[in-house]
Amino acid sequence: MASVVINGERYDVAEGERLIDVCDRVGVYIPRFCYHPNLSVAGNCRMCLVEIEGMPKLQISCNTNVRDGMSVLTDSQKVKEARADVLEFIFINHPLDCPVCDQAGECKLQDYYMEVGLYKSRMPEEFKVKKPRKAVRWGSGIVFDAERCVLCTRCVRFMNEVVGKRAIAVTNRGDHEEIALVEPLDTLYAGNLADICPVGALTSEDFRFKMRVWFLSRTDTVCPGCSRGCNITAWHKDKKIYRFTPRQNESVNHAWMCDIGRYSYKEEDSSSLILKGWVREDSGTKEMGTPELLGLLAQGLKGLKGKAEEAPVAVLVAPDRTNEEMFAICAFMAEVFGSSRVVLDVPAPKGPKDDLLLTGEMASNSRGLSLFASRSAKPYTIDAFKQDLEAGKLEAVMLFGDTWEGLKAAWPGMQEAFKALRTLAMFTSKRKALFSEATFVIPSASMIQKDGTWVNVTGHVQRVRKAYRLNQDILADNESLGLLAEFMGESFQVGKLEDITRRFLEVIAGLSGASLADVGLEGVSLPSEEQAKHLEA
Amino acid sequence: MSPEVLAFSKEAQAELESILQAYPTKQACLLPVLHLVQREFGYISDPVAEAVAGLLDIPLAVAVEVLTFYTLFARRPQAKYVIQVCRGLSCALLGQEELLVYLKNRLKIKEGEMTPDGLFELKTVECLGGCGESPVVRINETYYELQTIDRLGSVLNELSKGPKREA
Repeated sequence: MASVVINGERYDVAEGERLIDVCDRVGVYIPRFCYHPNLSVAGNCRMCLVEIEGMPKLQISCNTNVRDGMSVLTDSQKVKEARADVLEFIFINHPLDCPVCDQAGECKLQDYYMEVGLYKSRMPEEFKVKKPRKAVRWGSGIVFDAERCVLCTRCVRFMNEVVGKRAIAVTNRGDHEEIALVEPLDTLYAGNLADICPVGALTSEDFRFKMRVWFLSRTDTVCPGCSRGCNITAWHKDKKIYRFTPRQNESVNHAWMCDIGRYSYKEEDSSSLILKGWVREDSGTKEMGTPELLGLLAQGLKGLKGKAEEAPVAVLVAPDRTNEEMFAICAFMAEVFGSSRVVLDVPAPKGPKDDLLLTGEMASNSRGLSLFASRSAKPYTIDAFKQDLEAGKLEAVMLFGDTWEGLKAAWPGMQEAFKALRTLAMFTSKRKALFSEATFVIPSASMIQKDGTWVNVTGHVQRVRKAYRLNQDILADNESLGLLAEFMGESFQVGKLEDITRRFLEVIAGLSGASLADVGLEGVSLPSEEQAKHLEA
Repeated sequence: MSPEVLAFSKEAQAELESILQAYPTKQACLLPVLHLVQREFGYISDPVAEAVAGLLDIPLAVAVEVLTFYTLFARRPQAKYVIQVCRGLSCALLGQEELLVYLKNRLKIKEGEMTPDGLFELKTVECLGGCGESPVVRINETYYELQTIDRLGSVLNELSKGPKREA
């Protein structure tokens, strides 16, 4: 332990920690361009200068390790002047093009100029060294603008250290220094370059000029792409998503996300979603509101109760549902039909896999489902479902979710087999997930339209957050099941979301009393198998 | 490494091998090899830079960073005589600007350009370290000190007499 004094306040920190990290943690503001907590220290921008007692000159806080008894000033006159001077140097050759620059609003040059600059430029526009490469398409969704670059080398270090490919180089010297692409980026992580660029030099081809960032609202949620569950921020306005960006979480994704997940925001667009449900009748399909649809479905299901020893009803849960939806589905089946015919082992589609983030398992909650299934004495597997279906033991099947590609691949005759059913109800959000055999389609809330939790591949429970609901017909599955039970005249109650989460965490991890609030922004890690055994003993 | 790009003469090949022997790591050979390549081919083109990176087993980015950092490495064919006018402080005070104007007018080119016959190329450079004998002009690797328009004129006359390009 070391004790440091920052601006007169005493803090106890670990010896050798970076001063800039300490300041970030305790809320002392330090401007920076080149420093990034997940990359090596370059120390080239000089914006993070601080005054340290006993040192004759200002020091950069990113490359200073704290030691016991250190006394630091981050807001003295000397520091403020130094920051303004450094900024003036960085601005020497920077163009004045904020009105046409897509970074405006999230640009560090703009922010710092307002905070520590506000001087009148001594560098006439005609004296600036011009770099002619503007709006160069680098491929992989990245656009490069040479003259806006402040040469912080974050992108160079990201490619070298995180991706492991030296595709970007710093070329030339002095005023003429410039970053250049020497090999194609050709990586699934290129989108991060636009995020870490502190200025408008690297921007996202997909997002640029679509929307000014200050018009967008932010919702902190989790990427639905694969079972890694990267923490993300969804940027939206008027019930439309404009982009996903990664959110730092050291136990999951550091500060990165892959491009597959990044551009999956497009699947949350209203044009890809089911906005109103329908029922198949003899005359064709008929659109109707969700309450009417659930009423119709309830009539059909009511007749199946007590028809056989076990009601001829089964449910398939796709590996993208939230834990709360799955919990509600299982509780509904148990209490209304006294049945355990809930398939929780629907396989996730296969996808790319690497050592960084991609898990190859393209569904967000496989782990949550399998953990919950493993707590059941005799889980109802997909094979048991197939047998029941072939034996004609089922009349109605309800499908919850969107991710069926894995099942289709593993069971090519699935859709053919569904044709035998009288009722095939799909609680689905995406148009592309629908089967033509469906007799009921109930619009289910997509990930951006509901609250809940997912468990990622390493057993980390994380919160999915609702940004908006497109219309009143769209319901999360736990909500629609509550209505369905009511229409069937059952006393079954789903309960509040917080209660389901609490009960779920109790069942799978023995975390009694843990709530949604405990899951928080960064999630909680479930105890590993050994830890769990240790706790029980 | 593609041998057709790096087709060295016998002597250069021998020198290359002695460079590779002289350093503990291959990356350490980069600067001497670049010098050798420039002497051998006159300039370092993109394919040659790639071949050098391949030869030394280093990422292309590293070779490009070094190559572009030093302005004395040429990325395109150079004139037979590269005239480098020093624009350091001493030379500036002692008439560098007049020399530059004279050269531009006589050769009818701007800074950074080459005469159409490929004989002369005009560059300005930072301090050449000859401040005691300012103003200094460096032509290829030869220093011409205490230059005046007359002296520089006769140097150019002399150089113009030779063959346009080295045989």
